[in-house]
Amino acid sequence: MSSFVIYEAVAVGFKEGFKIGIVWLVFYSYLVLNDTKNLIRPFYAGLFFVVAVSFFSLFLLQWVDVKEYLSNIISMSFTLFLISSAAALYHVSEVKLFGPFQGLEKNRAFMNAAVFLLTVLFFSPDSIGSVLYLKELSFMKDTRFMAYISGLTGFLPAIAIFLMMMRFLRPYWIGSFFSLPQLLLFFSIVKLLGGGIKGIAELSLIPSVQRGFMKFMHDFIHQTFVMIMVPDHPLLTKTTWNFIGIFFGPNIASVASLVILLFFPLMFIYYSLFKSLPEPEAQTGAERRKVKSLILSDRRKKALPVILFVSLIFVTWFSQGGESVSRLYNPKPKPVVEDKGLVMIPVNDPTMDLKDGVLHKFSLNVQGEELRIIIIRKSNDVLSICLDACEICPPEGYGQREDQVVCIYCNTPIPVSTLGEPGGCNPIPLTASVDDRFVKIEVNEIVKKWEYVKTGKSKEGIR
Amino acid sequence: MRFKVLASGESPRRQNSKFKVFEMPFRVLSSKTFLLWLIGGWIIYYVSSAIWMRESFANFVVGMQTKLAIRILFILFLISGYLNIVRVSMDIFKKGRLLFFTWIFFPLGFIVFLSGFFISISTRQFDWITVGEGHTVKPRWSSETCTIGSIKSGLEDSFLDTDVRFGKGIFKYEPKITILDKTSKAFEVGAFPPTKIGNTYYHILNFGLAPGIRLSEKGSVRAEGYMPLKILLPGSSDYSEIQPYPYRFLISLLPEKTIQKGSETASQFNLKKPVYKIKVFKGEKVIAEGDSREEIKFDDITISVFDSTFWILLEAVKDLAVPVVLSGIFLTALGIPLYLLRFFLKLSGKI
Repeated sequence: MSSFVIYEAVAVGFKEGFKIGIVWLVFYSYLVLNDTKNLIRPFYAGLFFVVAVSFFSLFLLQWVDVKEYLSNIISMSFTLFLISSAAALYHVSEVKLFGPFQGLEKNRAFMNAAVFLLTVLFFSPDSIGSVLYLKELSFMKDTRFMAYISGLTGFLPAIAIFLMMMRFLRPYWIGSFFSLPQLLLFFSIVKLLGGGIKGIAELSLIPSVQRGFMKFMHDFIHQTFVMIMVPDHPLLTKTTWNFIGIFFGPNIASVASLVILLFFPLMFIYYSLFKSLPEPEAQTGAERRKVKSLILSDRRKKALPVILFVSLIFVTWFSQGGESVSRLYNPKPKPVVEDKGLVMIPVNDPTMDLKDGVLHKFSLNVQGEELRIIIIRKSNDVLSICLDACEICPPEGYGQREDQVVCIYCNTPIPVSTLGEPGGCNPIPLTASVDDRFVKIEVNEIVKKWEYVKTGKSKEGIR
Repeated sequence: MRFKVLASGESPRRQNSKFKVFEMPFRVLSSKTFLLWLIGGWIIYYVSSAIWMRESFANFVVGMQTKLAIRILFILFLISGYLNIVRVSMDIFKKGRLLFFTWIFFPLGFIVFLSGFFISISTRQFDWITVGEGHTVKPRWSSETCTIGSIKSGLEDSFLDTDVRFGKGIFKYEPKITILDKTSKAFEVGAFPPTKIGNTYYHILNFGLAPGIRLSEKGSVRAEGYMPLKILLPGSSDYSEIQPYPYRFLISLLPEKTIQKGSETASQFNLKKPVYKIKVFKGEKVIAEGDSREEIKFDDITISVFDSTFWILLEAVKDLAVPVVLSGIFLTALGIPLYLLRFFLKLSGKI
């Protein structure tokens, strides 16, 4: 087994251990400070359940089958914790959001169930994902248990670090930095920074969150352009695009996405540092001033972790995330030839595997013109076979960025799962037959569809 | 006569149960709690859709057009947004005018923009029409017919392919067309901003060259017309057909001359008198080829190029929401710096 695989397994184990340790440390401290220490039991029960589920998933699940579902559940749980933190902030500051559900926090059974379920939701997709990733690593070498042992070698020290920290740090001191909104925000940040399940390649959720936000920004700007009738494909809009085209660029989208993501944390900081203080019900002016000073000091203390989170997100956004987002895989097309009116591409040969989830490009020379084809495996294991062009843009083709293909000309991201659907900026789908050995496409089909690339559908009526 | 004791601060009117029935929905809609629930619900809906179904924005827009539940919720959101703005405005206005004017534009602009978004999604009609000089245009919703007067291409008469490659482009300026309305009043239309004629906005979406092709069979002309092609960018070629003939024509621009400077070579194209390269396909086989300076003969057919003109892809739009959307964008753009100013004034304790 190569040392890289061992390091990767150690890193994955350490990350999971670190997440459990830090969440436990903060949550336990919060409970101690708020005199609700008994809620740590459902938390432990939840952790036990997660460990059991992760163990059984080793035998029951395959990484390829569940990878996407796990990623989706992790993204959903991050969103839920982030929104909950904002809701809790509003609730404690000015707007009573929960109406008839108010007071439920005093119901012990409800709180036990809630803590158990949230613990399972928080940890289980990450743990299952990491365990299955270790399983994947274990296939890379004959000594199969080495990957698991390396994972444990990372996991256990991380847990030990937090156990020791708890001995030396007072829970009251740690808990004093967190009230409920900060606690929920802290959970969502842990998810954001440590929710990746693709080993070292993607430790955090930042790249996928970035892609999601940037897709939203792109679609929002596109819709606004449609409404005010800006031609959104720069075929002839020289002057217009010199000014407005900037909004379609990745930099604007990245910064705008960051602003949206940081909206809630910045709201926390604003409330903590700048919101006017309530008038205390004290007898004398001196007492009132003292109470105000205590409230202010408490608010500032609770703003500190949020400021730390904002800084962390900011740095990660423009380092790790930024690189991943801008990296575009654009392979050189492999030439293919016609054989009795057919193009036959092997599904698997010593140089490539069409089902590896990576974008594959091929070129066919017809009467001196190069027609390009792309093939990529979708999450449902079906191969998507399209032209390397759409009906709208000049045929510069597509690159791959994670689970999206991106139009090189207009930078539109298109989820791989939607390939095969015609129209718009989607690659033009080709009818092909696929068996175990070959993808077979009729040359007539390629030539006929390539005409759409040049003519579009809209060019009728002048004749 | 008996008097009822009122709770402190409660008006006699509020005590009346008839009014309470009307006030309750109003109070719910104007409450911040309701608005925040709607926003939170939308975020969860959008994120779930983005994570599990991917094309969430498109799904949302289609949902707004077709699903009553989404439309009703969006309308409730807009009403709630406006009522909240009115409620908060009244409070802030009492605290000071500066505070009010630095606050109002951003939320008002945003909600006006979203109102325009909703109206546009719900009512917009559009047509994409390919036209040449002298053609008439009559969108589906309009009773008025307009005529395309002239097309100013905005192209350089001659250009080098290297200019295009290095990003200089071939346009001197953007193409414009003149459209004459039913009273023969002329309107100049470009790519952006759109021009409003009657109840319809017009603007150019695409543009290209259309060589005039004449097809003769055994000496007599069988078909004649302009073929709109996307061949302006050097190196690009485009297919076209003439029905009912079983041929396809692959056409591209030919350079007028080639210029050599040191090791660099550039091709010069002339758009005043363009020359085309034409390949004739029957099935997948090339049966003839040549350039437009001569006739191309195959089977019993002769192809010749008699002229060239330009084609325009025109977008015609009927949308009541355009002024609303633009007002929303304007107010939001004005509101953002004012909002920041308000923040800094608050920090410095001036308001």
